[in-house]
Amino acid sequence: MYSKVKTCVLQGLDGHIVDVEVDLSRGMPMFTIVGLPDAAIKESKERVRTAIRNSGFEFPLSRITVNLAPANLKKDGSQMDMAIAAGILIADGKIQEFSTEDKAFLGELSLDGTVNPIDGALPMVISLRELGISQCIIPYGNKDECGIIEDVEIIPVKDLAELVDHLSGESVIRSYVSDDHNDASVYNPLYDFSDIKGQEGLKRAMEVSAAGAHNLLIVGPPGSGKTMAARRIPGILPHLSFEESIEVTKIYSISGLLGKSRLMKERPFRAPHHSSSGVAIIGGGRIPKPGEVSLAHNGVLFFDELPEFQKSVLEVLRQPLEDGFVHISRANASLSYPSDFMFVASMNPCPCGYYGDPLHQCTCSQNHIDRYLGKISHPLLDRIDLHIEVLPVKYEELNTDLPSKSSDEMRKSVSVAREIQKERFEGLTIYTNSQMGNKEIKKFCKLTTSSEQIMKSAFDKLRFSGRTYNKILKVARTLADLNKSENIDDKHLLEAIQYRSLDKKYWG
Amino acid sequence: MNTHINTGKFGEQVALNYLTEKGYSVLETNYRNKIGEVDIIAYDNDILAFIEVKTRMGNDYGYAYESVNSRKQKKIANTSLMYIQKNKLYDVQVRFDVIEVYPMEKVSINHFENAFSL
Repeated sequence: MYSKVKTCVLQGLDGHIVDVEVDLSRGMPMFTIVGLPDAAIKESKERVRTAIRNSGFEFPLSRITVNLAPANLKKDGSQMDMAIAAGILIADGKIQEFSTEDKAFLGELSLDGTVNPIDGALPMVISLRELGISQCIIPYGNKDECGIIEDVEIIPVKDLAELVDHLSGESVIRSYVSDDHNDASVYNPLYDFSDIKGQEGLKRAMEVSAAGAHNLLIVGPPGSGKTMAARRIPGILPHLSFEESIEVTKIYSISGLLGKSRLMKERPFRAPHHSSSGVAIIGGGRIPKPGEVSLAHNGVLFFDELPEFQKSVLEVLRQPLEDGFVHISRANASLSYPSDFMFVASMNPCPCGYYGDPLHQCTCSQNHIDRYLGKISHPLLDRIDLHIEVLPVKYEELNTDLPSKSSDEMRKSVSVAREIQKERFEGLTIYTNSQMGNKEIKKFCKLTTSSEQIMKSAFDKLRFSGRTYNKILKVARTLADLNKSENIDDKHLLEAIQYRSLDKKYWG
Repeated sequence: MNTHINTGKFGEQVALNYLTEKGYSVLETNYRNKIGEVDIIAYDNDILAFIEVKTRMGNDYGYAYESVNSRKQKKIANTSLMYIQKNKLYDVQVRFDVIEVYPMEKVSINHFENAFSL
């Protein structure tokens, strides 16, 4: 009258095995769940009872005690329904002769016995595999995201009756394997850089920033193509590698944003509105959920109209920009989520938008402009590798039939540069120039004597910070990679410095 | 005089006949201790059933079983716990039933097995 089956709870992206012990004994009819369950698990009592009855089984009339071990770990989520139901049916003798030792059950039950899909199925399956589980029984609706994991049997079940037939060996369900792991990403042809006429400087900066995963700030008057260009960045980024797409899919899986897709194949592009709160950006909640910085992991985080964001929201970006992960602490849990993204921001140079525009008169007072620009702090600017100013498009450029550089061409040169970086950082844990630490910068960003002269005079004149100095070296390295050049030449360094001279113009 | 008591008595008698016909072995009727009362205590094979009988002349005030609310359920449960202790029936599976009786033109009976649990 006792049974033990395994299931999983998530803490952040890490799963822990939970043993669901069920004991049926005689006495007053009662159904209790112990072992630090939260509200969703306590409610599972009613779902399990009704689902068992409506699947054509008898709900045992006895005193039912369910224990979730380890008892000191807080459990949340609705994925335990299936394990509890399976445990009760096994303890009641409805399912016999099979081993639950290396199996894990994940799934939420609905009242008619159907197994509903759950959030976070992929990270759970990945953790369970690492913890030595060889068979995961998962909801049918989660089969596509989980089927990509090899060396674990994925058994998708539609309802409780099917589960019982499978376990008792009456009709065994075959392990499901998704067939399409690593095929090419599908780019959205609606967004192509060839739509942007003129603005070659902007496109060049985008190419550089995509090539080295550098952060980018675009300053310009309204209508100059800032947003239009930013939307096209995902189209020139290289494909996600299999490991990267699993990292991204895990985050989307626990956020419940995966929808019908199996693996996230496109690099995420997140553009939160400027009314977003700090918690929405970083992540949070009673049990912290990933925020926009984590949803943009391995992709692009785009802030349109940067100064319109609340100042506090902008400042929270400092740490994830630097570290590549965020650590969120709350009373109930303290979790880390990866947040290695490419930060792209666009802004007008003043509240009216036309400061510095050769064609329009700016109507803002100096005070206004200072306050507007003052929202962007120097520490934040310091963390953005490339600053670029765009000017309004000219009529001749707009109306030309001359083909302009397309996303395809740009993607090709970006991929070449990324290949070079991959080779360079072989054996290290970094993939792009922007991730280099001090040691790598010293090793890979050597300057010639003439370049050093340039750097010195620029450093004195523009009063760079130490961080800016490093960022310039990194960008220069990317420019050299785009040029397929072994060493950083003067022209690369000069271009990199030029991308850092804008803050002097506006922020003084 | 005291028509509602008579109604109740009649209903309990109907239920009792129904249960004996069904093969229950009745241990007690109108069992009473200091906590409360249980209408019928009977064995359904090896399950000990505590049965509450409700009789109603009509549906004007709701169905009969609806009047066995959580307060009444607790009362029945506590009464039966005491019964179990007194008679040392520790290793017996227990069940709570509700039987509703409608003694109108034609007597009708509804038996809810395992009507509630703790």
